[in-house]
Amino acid sequence: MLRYLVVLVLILAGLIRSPFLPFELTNVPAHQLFYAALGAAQLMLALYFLWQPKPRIAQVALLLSGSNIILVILSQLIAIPFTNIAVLTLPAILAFMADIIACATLLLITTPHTRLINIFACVVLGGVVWGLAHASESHFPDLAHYTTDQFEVFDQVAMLSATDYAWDLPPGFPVPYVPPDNPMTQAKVELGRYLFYDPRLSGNNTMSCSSCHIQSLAFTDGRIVPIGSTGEAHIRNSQSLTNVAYNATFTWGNPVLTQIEQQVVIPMFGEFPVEMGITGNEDVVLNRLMQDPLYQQLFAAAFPDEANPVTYHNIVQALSSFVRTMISGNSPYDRFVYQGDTTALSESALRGMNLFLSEKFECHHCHGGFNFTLSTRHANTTFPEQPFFNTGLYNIDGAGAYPRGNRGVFEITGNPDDMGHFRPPTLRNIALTAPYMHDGSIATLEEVILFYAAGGRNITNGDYIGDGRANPYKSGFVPGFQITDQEMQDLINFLISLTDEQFITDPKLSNPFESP
Amino acid sequence: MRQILSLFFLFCLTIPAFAQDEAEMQPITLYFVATVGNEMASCSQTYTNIGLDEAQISFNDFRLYISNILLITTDGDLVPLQLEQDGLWQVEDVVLLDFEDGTAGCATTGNEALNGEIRGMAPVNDYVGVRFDVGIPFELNHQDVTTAPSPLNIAAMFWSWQGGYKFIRIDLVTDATQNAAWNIHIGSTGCESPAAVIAPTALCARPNITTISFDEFDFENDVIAVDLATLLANIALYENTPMPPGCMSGIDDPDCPLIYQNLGLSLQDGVCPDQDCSSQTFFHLADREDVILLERTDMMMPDESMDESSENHHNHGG
Repeated sequence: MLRYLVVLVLILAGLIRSPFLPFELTNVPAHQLFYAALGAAQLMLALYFLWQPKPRIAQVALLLSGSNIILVILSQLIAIPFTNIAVLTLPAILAFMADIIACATLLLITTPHTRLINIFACVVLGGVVWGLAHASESHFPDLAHYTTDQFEVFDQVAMLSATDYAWDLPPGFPVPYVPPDNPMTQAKVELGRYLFYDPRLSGNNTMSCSSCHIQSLAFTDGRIVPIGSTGEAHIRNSQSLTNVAYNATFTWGNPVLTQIEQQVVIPMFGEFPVEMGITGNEDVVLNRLMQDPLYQQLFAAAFPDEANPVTYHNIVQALSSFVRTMISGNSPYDRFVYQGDTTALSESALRGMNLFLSEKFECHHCHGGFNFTLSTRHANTTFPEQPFFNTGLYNIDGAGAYPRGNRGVFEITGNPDDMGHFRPPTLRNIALTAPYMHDGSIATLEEVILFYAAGGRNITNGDYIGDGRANPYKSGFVPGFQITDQEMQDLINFLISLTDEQFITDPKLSNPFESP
Repeated sequence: MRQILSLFFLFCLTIPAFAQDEAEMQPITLYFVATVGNEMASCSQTYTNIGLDEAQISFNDFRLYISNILLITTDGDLVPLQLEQDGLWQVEDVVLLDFEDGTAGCATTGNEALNGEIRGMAPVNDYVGVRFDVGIPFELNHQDVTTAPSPLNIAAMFWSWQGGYKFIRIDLVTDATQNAAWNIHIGSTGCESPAAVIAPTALCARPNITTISFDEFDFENDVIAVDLATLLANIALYENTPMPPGCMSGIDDPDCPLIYQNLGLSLQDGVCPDQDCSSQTFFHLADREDVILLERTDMMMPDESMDESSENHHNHGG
């Protein structure tokens, strides 16, 4: 009688674990291989035990079920190897219960004097398997990478190493941080490239992302402020997309936006002002893409598991993936620093570089690091920082005010200390991205340097009269400095040496409708 | 079956063997606390009566690197503390002490995480003293901050390949209404290389690494206090400083001589005179009980503590 109970529960546990059932219904994906093997073994043992009820078979079945009980308990109490989420699904609990019943029954069947030894053996075996899994976890990142609709394994290292996308990074550049729910794939990048250059993504078919992010201008538009698809002017200068994969935060001043995926929806759906103007035209825009055989093919390739892949969620994911590939690291500066080309920089640019990195001009305190901004995050970042600075552009009321609606982080937090705080942008390709500042209010690089030399801007007429140099929220790193004409020229030559010609002509980043 | 079982037993017997080597080691933790005189140092507080001209200060950054930690035995022998390699605060023999929590003014360059501990292992022994360097050894000081292991991967603590890291970064604000900066950035100077972005091959002329030594250290009860008030005691913080604001390690920076003296260093040589750094006033010992008391006072409502003494109590500014 007991024998049949054992056979029954073993078959139950074995079936749940074995690959006969859809794996979404069984266990945590990263454990799938292990549990499939365990399930197959249990099924075989059950059948064998039904045919020949030998004590030896019972012994092995007992060890398997018993050690697995210990394994599950350890995993729930301490940590689950190969993943860091603890999912107890109904099938997993059922299989676990089956193990307990099998184990208890088998203990009854075996001779009394071996019971303690058997329990001990189960504990040891379970502990050893758990320990080995833990010790070997880091050596098998691929096993931890497995996502399904039901489960996501939030193991970043594993996700990064297991993606099929091969970063073509310039020497000295770290791997960018990629959110675990949107791993890079070549198909998504390809789809994103078409979407980026497609005016059909705007409500009235007139503008694409590339309208305000032009490759030859390092993905800016050369205007003071951009004009949206319905003619509305934005209040902020169009930002360069150079190396946005490394941004700690996105847009000019918003500590909440920490992923490109969050930013991309703003130009698409924003109403104040209208940029792409999709809001109100959601179905029209989506239908345009669905009708096009090219997009049917591109979406299917990028999201192969989905029956209806043409969704805004997927558009955002693909655009973000494409924008992440806009990596610029082949300027004369890079050739000098990372590629050993000692002739890449002129004498003047070299002097400018030393001035830039000096404690005299203080440039590097906000524009430091390989990407020339402290607002940087990458896979090797252990202490993410989100710097924002007030540089003394305005001081309308003498108490530090910036023009209404354009007051930086203050617009988000309402905290007076955040008045006029904006993100320091990368200085790579800076010679191409005039005009400057969050509102495009300074026209040339020379004027920007003079602005910092003055320690802020004193506005003496117009709507915004006020001495920004005395803005109480101004950064301590903008006290002003003396600069000679020669130093000015050297500093500008250094900034020009950050221009990456390959980046602004790279066919992989160009308009695919013109040169696929 | 018996064979299988005995195999398991054998396996179990081998487990303790792995730990055998470290059996004679003991864990040691050194505790640090950042203070401004008798108050805990915090980004969101303003402190009064600091320095020669009794200035009012707050700080926007407060981080420093400690390395080469040595334990002193009763015989006077120096035993290196083997740091736990935690992948975050400690790497090789370097530790980052982080006293800014990313709030208030610290939000611009800082982050949330804090660290006031050094954790490591040392052979079992009676230790009576402790010694450490404030700075990063040359071999680790001139690398690529982008790819360096944590905590040597923080751009805000880095100058350039040539200059290396800022060993000490304290960004003071001396006049809240003007946001006036008085920054202390200490690192090696006189590092010769063809350009700022190329690491030097020879030692820097002025390492600017001070050595702090406590020959009588109670590992049970002592905490090492890092005290801004004593570091700045003889400095006039309101006086207009020529550029740059504060001491950025410049050999001709008029703000530097006193800071260097208070770190035990000679500004001209970048080392302690005659290897004696004992003129430093930045670090001193505190009793753990007192520190706990201090932390409690700090958490109390300002009104409650205001009445007791007027001298050193803070204003809860901004």
